[in-house]
Amino acid sequence: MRVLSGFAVIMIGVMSFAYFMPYFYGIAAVKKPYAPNVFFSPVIEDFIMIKSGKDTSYCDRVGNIYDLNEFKKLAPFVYYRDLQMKGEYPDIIGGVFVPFETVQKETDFISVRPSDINHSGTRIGLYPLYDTKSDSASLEFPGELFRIKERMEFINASSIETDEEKSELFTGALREKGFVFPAKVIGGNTDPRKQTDYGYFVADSSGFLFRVYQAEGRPEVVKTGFGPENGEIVHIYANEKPGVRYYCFIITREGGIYALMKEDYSVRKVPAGNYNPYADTLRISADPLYITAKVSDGSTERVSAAGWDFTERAVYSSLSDDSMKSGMKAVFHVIFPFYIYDDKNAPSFPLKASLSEKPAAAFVFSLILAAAYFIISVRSGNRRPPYGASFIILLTGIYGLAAVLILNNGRRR
Amino acid sequence: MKSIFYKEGIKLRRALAAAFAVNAAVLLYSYFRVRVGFIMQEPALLWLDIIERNAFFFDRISVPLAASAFILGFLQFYPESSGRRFRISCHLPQNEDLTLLYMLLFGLSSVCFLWLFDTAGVMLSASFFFPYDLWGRIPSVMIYSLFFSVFLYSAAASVALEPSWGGRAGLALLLCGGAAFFGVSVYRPSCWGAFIAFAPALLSLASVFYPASGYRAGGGR
Repeated sequence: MRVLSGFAVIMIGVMSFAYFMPYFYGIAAVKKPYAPNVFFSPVIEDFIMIKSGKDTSYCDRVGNIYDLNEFKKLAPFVYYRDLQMKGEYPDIIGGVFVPFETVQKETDFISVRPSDINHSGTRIGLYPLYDTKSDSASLEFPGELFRIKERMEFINASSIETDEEKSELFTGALREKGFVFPAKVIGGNTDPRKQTDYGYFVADSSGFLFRVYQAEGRPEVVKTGFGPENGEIVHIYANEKPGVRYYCFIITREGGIYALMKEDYSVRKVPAGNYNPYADTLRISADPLYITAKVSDGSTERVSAAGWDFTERAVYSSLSDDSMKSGMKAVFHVIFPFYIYDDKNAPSFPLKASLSEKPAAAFVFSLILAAAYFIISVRSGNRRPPYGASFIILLTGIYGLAAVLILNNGRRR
Repeated sequence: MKSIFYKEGIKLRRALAAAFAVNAAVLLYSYFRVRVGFIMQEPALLWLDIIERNAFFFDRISVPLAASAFILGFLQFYPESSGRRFRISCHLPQNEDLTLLYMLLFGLSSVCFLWLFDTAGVMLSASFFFPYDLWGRIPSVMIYSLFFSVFLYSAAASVALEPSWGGRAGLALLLCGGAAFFGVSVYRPSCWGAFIAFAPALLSLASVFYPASGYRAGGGR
């Protein structure tokens, strides 16, 4: 029992050291990661970038260097407010007349992190359904939330009871349009402070996408052009900006990104290369002439620009720098044979374990630690050679050594 | 076993009564806080706020539960080491490991009862204000509080039973880091997460036998 309980104490120590030691090492070795901020210029119809470091530089893909003012003129859809303030906003951009007001209305920026997709399945499936055409000037927050399982149910928040009449009305409207219950994914903007409402975009269990909204208390359901042939929906992003050309972006399990167009509810595929929705961060910027998708996996970033016909015009790939100094990173993977860390993108439990990137070097380092501990213990006159402790150090490296030393030190006093 | 449970019951009766009273008071306080929230604000807006922010509306109950478990562990085992009771018990004609196991079982049952009391209280009060979608997730989230409380109880017991201050400091250093494994994002129940939280809780229970092993004949105490 003594051996087993000692092992239990050491194991807890090893687990906590495997979390805390790499964490504090990471804090000590952190450096500002370097990655250029890339934009698509409608003026030169190529990528321009801001390279920040000791000296910030503004350049294009070819290597031409610009000053900040020139750079702003090359990215008029990014810096349109600055340009307008100085009276330098050009009404004709890329040969097209684009008034300032159009830019204000049609520029949009969205960001979808892996955590948005991984966590969407664990969100409690209750949503408020606003009235798109209510009498009041601003949207009124409804007194009930809805869920879509075997039917669409409205739960009154004051009584915690189902509003049967309304539930039947909306369930019937959905069935009439061919909706197959239960809903798989629901996307929409729940923000009570929003100005406009487009309702919700709901994927049914057969893979079709529907738009559901409420107008003067009545259900409105539209079957969109998205079907199972486009892929399995994992996430729907809708920010309800009135001036843009799309209702929402649909992300599929295979990494497809689709825009649901306002004009005719058709879906158009946004070119973005290899996108893994569970691991990569996606940033989409839309402006009156182009739609640009940036896919970043932490070490590389791929940017693709397309016109509103959704054909790819230009692609740019760049390597991101690591957030740890290279020498420090090498040492990290030698001294820590494995480590436990917080994964904020994890679908459920945030703690994850990972092995060293240099397992052979880490094993040799652990072997040296174990041998040193064994030799020092035997030479210091221990009655029995510490085979067990040395074996634990061999397997767990520096964590095991720290735990064994702390435990032994406490016992000797 | 019966006699050990009786002995532990007498030793901890006041602490247990105080723990239940404090937990009941916090439950009542939480209930009234939520009730005030529902009176002052639109209920549907409160529901949405909780859902969107992943705010654990009953999380304050995990603090008194964890504190109670820690204090129970300390109060149960500190007198054993400071009053040398455990050392004397080791001279009785019975298995010392079994004695300790029964003592731990008593403490563990107390923590479990306290957790059941809190979970039932939270579920009952939540059912007045929230739909099943919200309060149905309470047990799967509260299970982490149980593991955390068991871990703290065992850690306090280990440190309290260790007679030397150096040993106490070493054990505290090794065990306190284990608390990091109970940080769980609310409403995101997962089997992997439950296992990760269960493993240190189980290991910490086994760790109580480590300081106890030093009391035996030849243990150098």
